[in-house]
Amino acid sequence: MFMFTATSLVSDVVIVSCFFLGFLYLNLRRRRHGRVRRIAFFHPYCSGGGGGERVLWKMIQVLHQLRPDLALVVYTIDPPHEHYKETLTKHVSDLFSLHLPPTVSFVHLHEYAHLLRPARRFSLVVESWNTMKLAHFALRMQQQHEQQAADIFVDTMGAAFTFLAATAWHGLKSVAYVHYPTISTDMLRVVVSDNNDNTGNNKTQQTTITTFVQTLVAKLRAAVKVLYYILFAICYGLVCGSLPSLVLVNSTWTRHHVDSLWMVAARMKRIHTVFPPCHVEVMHSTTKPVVLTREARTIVSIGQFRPEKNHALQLRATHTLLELEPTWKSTLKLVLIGGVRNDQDQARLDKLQELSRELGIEQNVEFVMNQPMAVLQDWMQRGTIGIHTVRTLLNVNVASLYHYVARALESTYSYSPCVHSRQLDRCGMNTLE
Amino acid sequence: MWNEHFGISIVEMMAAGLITIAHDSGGPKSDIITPPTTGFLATTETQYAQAMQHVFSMSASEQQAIRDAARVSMARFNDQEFEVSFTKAIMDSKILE
Repeated sequence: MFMFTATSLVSDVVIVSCFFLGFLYLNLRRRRHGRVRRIAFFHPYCSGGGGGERVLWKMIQVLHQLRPDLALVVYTIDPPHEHYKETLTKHVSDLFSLHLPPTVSFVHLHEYAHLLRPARRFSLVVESWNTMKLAHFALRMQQQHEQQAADIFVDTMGAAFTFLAATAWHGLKSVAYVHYPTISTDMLRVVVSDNNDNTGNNKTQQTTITTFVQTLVAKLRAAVKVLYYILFAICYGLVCGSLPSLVLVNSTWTRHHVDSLWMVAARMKRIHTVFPPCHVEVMHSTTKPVVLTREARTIVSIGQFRPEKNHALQLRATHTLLELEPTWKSTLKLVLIGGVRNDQDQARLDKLQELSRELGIEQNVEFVMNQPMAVLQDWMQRGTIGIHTVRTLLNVNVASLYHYVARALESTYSYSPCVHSRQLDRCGMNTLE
Repeated sequence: MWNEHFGISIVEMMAAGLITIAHDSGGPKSDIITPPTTGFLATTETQYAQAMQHVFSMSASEQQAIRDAARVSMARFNDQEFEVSFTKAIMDSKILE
């Protein structure tokens, strides 16, 4: 049953890819010409308060300055309400100090919210497919409501498969702002975890018919898995990467990866590094001296209580520091400032508090949760050190991707039937938890 | 999929005058911090601890030198720089024409 689902999914992908390639050829030939009047932004979580949202609103502001006549449409997952634009304008102004131009309008995709839910299996393909569908529905909805299609489609969320809908299907020009080459994270994590699994399960080798059959099934499953990787890599790297007319990347690091993944775009010199607009001005005013009365040994950490922020490392490092300098015990303080948005965040926070007790540093750690910007700025002024432990996990390009696939194959063929049912289950896991 | 991995909060901390110790990977390594002039990079808890020990042991003027250098360096990531490079990319691509 499971094998059937897996195989049928892969064959679906093959058929759909061929279909799109054909369409791409036809559609690129009938691309719209003439003056650009409408730009659509694919950013379903546009009412969020992260760095990605700041990029979106700043981009919109700059485009409005360049061409005030442009209609700028944002595709959002939020449901419509009477004062949606006013509320959002205030939110953007309060949080980012940015002004929303009057030419901004919204297409509400709340009816399709289910398409953004994380998939439990094959999340690479399923989630990509879903974002592509969402982009298609958005473009279609806009066309129906406004009687006019967009001319340019901008993805600011890293959902590269939306270009299949926008450019290959609807024939629009597209622009990408890439924060992170997402493709590699999932793949490497799966392969790495598989290899770990393998090391613990290679001991028992039985030679009964049952196990022979199990081995055969496992091999088949592994083959499907590898095929899945390769097809996805081709779709992401070669197909999606060749569609945008302009690719913006947020750092030299991302650029390095996008250059090797999106080879067509790189060869056609469509990739530009554009650092995200950070809110540097609000953090200090030029008239105010940077050094105030900084507290002797205060370390400040800023970030939501999410696993990738790796707060535990900060606690351990503080503990190690106190081992190096025991006399600092009475003056050292680590201040963890962050947002707790849900039960999982709260659970992680509880664990961190427990860890600080275990390490015996609870008097040296202060947790500051869900406080307004002013409190955060106050701590930034009082602290001496800022600590940041987010690891950018991976260094994968297409070449090393194939290396990992080869390793996956190797380890798979070293016989371990019971492991692989789990491997396939994990194929698409893309959360860090 | 929509996390930002550049390290905006690092830029903000540095702009606010915190001497920043960030993870030795990704954006912080490639673009943001030039150790030891504008901040420090670390990977293990020992490296983080040693970097913190080093900073706290510095004289006030040494600390101030790092703060000032970091602050100047962070101007590369302000709104005006974004406007300039984004506008240039749009114009070069001739996408609005």
